[in-house]
Amino acid sequence: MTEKLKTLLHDRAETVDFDVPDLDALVRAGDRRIRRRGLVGLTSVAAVAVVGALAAGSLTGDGSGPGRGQTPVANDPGTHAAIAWTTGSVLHEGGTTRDLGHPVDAFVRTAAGYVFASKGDVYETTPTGVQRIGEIDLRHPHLVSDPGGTLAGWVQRGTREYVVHDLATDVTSVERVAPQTDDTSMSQFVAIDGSTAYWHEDDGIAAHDLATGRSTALDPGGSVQNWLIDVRDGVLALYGDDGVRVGRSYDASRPLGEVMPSSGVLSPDATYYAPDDETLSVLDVASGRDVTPALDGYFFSTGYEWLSRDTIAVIALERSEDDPLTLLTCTISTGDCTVAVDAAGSYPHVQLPVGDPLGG
Amino acid sequence: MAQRDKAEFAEFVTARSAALHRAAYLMVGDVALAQDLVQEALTKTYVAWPRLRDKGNAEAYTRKAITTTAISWFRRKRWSHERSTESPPDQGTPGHDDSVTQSAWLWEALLDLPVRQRAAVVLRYYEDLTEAQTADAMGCAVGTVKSQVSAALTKLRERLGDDPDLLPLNDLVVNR
Repeated sequence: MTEKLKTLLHDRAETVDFDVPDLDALVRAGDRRIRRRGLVGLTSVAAVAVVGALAAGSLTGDGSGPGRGQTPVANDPGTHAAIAWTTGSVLHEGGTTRDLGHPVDAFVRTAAGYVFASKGDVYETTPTGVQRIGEIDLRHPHLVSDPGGTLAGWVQRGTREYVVHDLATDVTSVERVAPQTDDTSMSQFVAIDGSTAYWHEDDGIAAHDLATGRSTALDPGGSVQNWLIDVRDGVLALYGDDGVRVGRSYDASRPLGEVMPSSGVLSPDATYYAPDDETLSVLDVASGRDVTPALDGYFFSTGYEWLSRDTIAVIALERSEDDPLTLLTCTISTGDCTVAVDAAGSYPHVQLPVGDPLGG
Repeated sequence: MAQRDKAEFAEFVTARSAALHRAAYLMVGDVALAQDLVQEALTKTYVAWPRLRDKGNAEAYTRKAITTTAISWFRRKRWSHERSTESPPDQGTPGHDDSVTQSAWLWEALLDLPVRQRAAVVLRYYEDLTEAQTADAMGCAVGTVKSQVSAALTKLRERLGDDPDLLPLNDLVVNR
């Protein structure tokens, strides 16, 4: 084989000089991204809120509301789940606090309680205590859940199994062994929506029916160009070459305006999508219309968890990333935002129910 | 990120940024765009740095980020259109500047390739990666790499003629 093509490429590459990248700017941009990723998670799926009181009640068998201390949620837009956060081992929710006994590295919400990671172990909260239910990556714990159901999932440390735990039955099931991967792998347990688990592997996105154990490829022949951001009520939010796409299948998905951030959260019935951006943004999925509630006075704000079909929890920083976190609730139908927690804490001590450690 | 990790990352950037810039430039054909591309890829690498247990994988990770980001940008911004399919200018008479002229034609022809094909050529013939390594960097199957390289070389031959010294012949055969 001739070397001429290679020679041309090398000669051409040598004709240009490049400045050494601005390392400080690079680190600043990276740190911002880590924080944002920590806020809503790369996959974001854990950040979606409870579907509704009726569903939650039926799942827990408690007609008066969800069990295990979860704040009830109604279909009435005026009622929504309480904002929850942790500082160290203390869970704050709805004006009450509870010491979980283990420092929380990351946590998710379900209709039957919370699942959290602490120093490589996975725990569930119960009405009377806290129970260890598995092991997870020590440095980068990543949890997923269906906030409207009773299931939470993670990749088991050591065995690399995708496991799903049902908080209603206390049954933990092994669904599949994650493939052996190298450091550049995109493999990840992405989402649980109803009775379907979703994971992203190097050869594409798989939807795994937890009832039958059957997996199907969402995007046959897919690649790292397509990333599953979130799934809610059977609707997929995907990130691809042309930005965010939304639809009930990969083939049926269509671009959602010019939304380019690669993470975000769908509302429980997939009516709205909130991209993870520098400032709060909410779009109507059907029309692409901007329905962002008014929120001024913060240099950074983003929606991270839907508390009802109409209300989103928002994290905000007033002046700098060193400020204590402000948590707000914003209602789409009224366009209003209200401060719920004025100083929830600072990185990295505070955690929100997004499945990943806040602040990376 | 821990200070030790930041120091390691800074060392990686200092050592490898020039090489990464050159590969990025060949993929996009524009110095400013190549710098943006490398900045974006290094930011992604910085974010992923703590989980790169083997720092020897950092360059592979960054190369993958450069390639997939370049493909994404080009497709997103619709810059990957075929710019021209007309024949190259008359190749003139043999002379001392033949190689310079030929080089210019080849460069023009390369820039006219769709971005995936150009990325495959750069990774295979500049970075000297195997087909499997190229597939990993592009986030696609090995068969796709073979077909992309084959299509690229076929187009270059159509533009530049059948000069056996100019282009590799054996990669025109695709075994899927």
